[in-house]
Amino acid sequence: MIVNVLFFAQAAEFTGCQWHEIELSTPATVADCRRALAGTFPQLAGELPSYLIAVNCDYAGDDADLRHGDEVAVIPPVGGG
Amino acid sequence: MAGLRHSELDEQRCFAAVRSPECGAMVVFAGTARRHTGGREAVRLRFFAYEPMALREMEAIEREAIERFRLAACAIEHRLGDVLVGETAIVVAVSSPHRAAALEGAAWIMNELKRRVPIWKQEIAPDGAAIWVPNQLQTQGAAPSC
Repeated sequence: MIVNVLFFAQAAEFTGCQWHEIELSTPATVADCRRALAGTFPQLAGELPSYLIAVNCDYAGDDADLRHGDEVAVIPPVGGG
Repeated sequence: MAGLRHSELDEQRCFAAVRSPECGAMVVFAGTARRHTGGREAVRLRFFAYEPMALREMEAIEREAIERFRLAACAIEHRLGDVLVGETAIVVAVSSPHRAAALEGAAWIMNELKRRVPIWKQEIAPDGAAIWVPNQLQTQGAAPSC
């Protein structure tokens, strides 16, 4: 399956891009996607464990299942308000 | 009513959105761009958002606040892009029949917003240098809604 990963704030600075398509073997969870991201973007790997993940605009834990076409967002600590 | 705006915010619009003849209390909170934080000086702040998710989270916070504090109405607007020192970055307006719920509800909304809405802030220093400034409320690795 392919998921589209969005990067924001510091995460986008680490990766040098705002989005990237990642191929995962089916079935896959958020944890699998985190591992793939750390492998593809070594600059992101150090901070990634402290970042949240959202799938299709909802926060998702590491055991959440992913589906082909999902939008996965890498969310560094937020600063709004 | 939740909104993300790339232009100046209007506190009066938010007030008008929550005014009701059934209410005896309205609270509006305006968060403004501060010049000094710790030892740092900023000339402006710059906000970025994951817009569709930020709007969803803001709308969820409004629904939760209305239920939790029995508010009559609630409006949240957050500005994106550059915000000069002294300008308004966020407005939260609530109304309720009595004042305690309105005061507590507005404070709760701000805490939730700072904890879970995917918006990020840069402080821009007088020399143009930009640093990311996360909110202090978010504990690392905690998943707010799962």
